[in-house]
Amino acid sequence: MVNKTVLKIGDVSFSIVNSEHINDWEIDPPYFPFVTAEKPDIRVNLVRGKPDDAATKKFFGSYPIWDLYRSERSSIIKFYEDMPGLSRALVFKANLKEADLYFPAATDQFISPFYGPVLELLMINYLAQSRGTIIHSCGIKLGDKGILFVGESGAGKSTLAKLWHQAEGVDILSDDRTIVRKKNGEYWIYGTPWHGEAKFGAPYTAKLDRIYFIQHGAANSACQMRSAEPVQNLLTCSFPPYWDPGGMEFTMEFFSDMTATLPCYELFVKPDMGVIEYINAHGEESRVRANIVREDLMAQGIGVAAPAVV
Amino acid sequence: MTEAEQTYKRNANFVFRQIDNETILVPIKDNVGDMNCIYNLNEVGAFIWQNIKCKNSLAGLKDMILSEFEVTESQAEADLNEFIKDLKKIKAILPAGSCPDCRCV
Repeated sequence: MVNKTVLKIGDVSFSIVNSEHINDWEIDPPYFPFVTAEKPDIRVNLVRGKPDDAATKKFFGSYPIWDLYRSERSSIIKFYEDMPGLSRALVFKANLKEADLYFPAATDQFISPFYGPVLELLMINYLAQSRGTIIHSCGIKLGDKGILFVGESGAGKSTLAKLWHQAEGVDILSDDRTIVRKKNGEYWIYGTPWHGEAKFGAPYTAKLDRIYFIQHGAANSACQMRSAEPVQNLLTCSFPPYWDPGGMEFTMEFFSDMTATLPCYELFVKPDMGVIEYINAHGEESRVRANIVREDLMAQGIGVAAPAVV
Repeated sequence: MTEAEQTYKRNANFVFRQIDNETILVPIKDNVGDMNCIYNLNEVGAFIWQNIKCKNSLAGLKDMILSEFEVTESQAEADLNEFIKDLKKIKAILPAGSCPDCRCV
């Protein structure tokens, strides 16, 4: 009997398809909210055995978790090669419409398709084809506005997520990994199941309003960033395909356009509810200043199609 | 060939993006251990990077710097040599050699 589960993450639908040899796994709880009945963009077949990895060349290593190999026609990501019981391999072609997830032939092999970064890596490769990116960030929806709080491990993303959870009118998309995509000329953020220690991950989406790069501080303060600095920060706080020149060029262009369009701030965070009031006030203040600039320009006869960044 | 006549080409394994007067340079990597290497070139560095092509010798690059920026000849030469040394160290540039199939633009 063949059956399947379909998940939708970042506006991308994956179907995970059983075979007669693999049909005794369960959906991991963080993925429950992402289950959907939509038609899949990518089909992931669960397969017993070993992929044909002849004529493959190693392209990237992230030992001991995963290594990427490529042949002329396909990519193979091998996971946990030195850890019996956990090893698996994901094989996909360039068009990424379908992937095979191989598990060893032994029937007592641990086989959850959700274990490790399998689906996340599939998403990284899919988004890198001019679709978007995953950013190491806490993403929230405040009213109808999306806000990203970007930072490396330990910067305070999960702490911020817990604080925002106590505020009214806020949905937490993620406390660790948020997808960003461009839709009709606007940037949108999406929650993912790949949560941090606060375990927030929900399939909400919001139009991105502004970006904060966070670090610990004795008091809350924000300072606008310009030029190349926000792009550089995004590159170090995201998961771009470092092994793929085309994917990297897309990612850099994506970040460059995004930071030219949206205000970016360096934010020092004092981790208590005061930061919530600060961000609420900061957002309102920025909008007022943007409106003043726009009105000034219009008074001078200079048309402004969108709010100017101040 | 003297040092001044030396030409270089950009390593195709580096992707770059110009943002205002700066250029971000990122090497295509093969290992997660290299993931923190992102280089930011200032205005002069970005100008030199854009003009590193097999037809431009170091002497030619120095002349371009002198035309574009208000610097003395000795300063231009010293800054150019230092910058080229840094780029060679991270393998962002390679000797152009004879470059018979040159597609530099």
